[in-house]
Amino acid sequence: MNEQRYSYVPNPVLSGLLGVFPLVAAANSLMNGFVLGIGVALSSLTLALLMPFLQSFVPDRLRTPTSLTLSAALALLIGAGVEAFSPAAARSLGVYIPLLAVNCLSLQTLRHYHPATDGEGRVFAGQYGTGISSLLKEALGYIAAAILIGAFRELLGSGTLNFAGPDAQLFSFSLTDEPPARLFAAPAGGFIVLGCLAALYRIATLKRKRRGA
Amino acid sequence: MARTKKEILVENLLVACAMGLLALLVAGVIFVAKSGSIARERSVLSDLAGRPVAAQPVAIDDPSIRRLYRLLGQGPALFGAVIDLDSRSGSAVVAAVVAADGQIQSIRLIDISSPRAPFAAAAWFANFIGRGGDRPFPSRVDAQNIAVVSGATESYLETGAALGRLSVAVRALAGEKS
Repeated sequence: MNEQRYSYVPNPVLSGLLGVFPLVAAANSLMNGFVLGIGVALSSLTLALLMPFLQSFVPDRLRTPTSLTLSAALALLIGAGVEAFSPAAARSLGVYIPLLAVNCLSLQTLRHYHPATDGEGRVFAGQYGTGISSLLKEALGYIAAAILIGAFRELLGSGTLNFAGPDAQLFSFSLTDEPPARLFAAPAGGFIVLGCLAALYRIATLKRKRRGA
Repeated sequence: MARTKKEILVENLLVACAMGLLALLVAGVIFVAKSGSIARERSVLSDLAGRPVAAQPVAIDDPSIRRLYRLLGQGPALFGAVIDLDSRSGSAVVAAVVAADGQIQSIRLIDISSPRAPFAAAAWFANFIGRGGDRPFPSRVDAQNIAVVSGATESYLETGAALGRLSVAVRALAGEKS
């Protein structure tokens, strides 16, 4: 019964519209979408992995501030990594990197992925595993949605698709000489792309449900 | 069983110590990551000016100027700066060498977030070289006659404004020294 319940994990962005603000505002290129997706996924997964230690060693009344401090520390570390990888990408993402500390997916992790413990504070391995596996699926779903939104917006808003490493361009594709529709590089275009992708995702989910019924 | 105030205080102190250790760890990692970026910037500046770069940057109060260094070695006084530039279609980090009178000597792109950002065009910075001393930076009217600026006039003027602020800062610094 439980296995059936956890086998399908809805995409947090396209189904739950969770953590969409940075994607709509800042993910206007494949690179930005990738960085934001990886940042959110790393942050929420690391928090979920650290939860059992917090539960064992930190008293209840201090757990929320400690979790938030951890989340902030992770956001700082991710920010330092992005700055070292690509200073210009860090500059173009701006405040959205520090804001990873309070991203909805990370906050949801803090809220929902406290694993169950026995009377002596030990973690039930089975329940913890279920939480981590579904969170892993959610994180991968977030990365996929962030990359898709970034790639579509870059293709439509700039007419290119690029991914740069620390010292070189890893791949570069040019669709047109002039940007086809600059609107898609702006937040308004982000909402349009998100809306279209969310609609397609829901259609696909409905078809899947009908086939399963 | 209710805990005593002393036990609660000890718990709080232990958690505070753990958070302090976490802060030290984060600061250490950020220091290492930042040192790598600074070394890369210094190597670009040294290569661009053909001179060694001073060990410590000069403190400067401008959000778009990341770091400003004195350039060492023989010859006229030179300064090297790393600047952030923004446009609607992307950001860039550039290295610039400036003479003591504020004249821009050379500029090189260090990193760019999108090849469609106007800074990616090879000729983008050409019109700023030699500006800043006796020659003013390009105005809106000048920008209308430059082909590479077409469609990105605001970004061009903002680039000129950032380099202008750098020029003023270098002149002030050179004045202080003399």
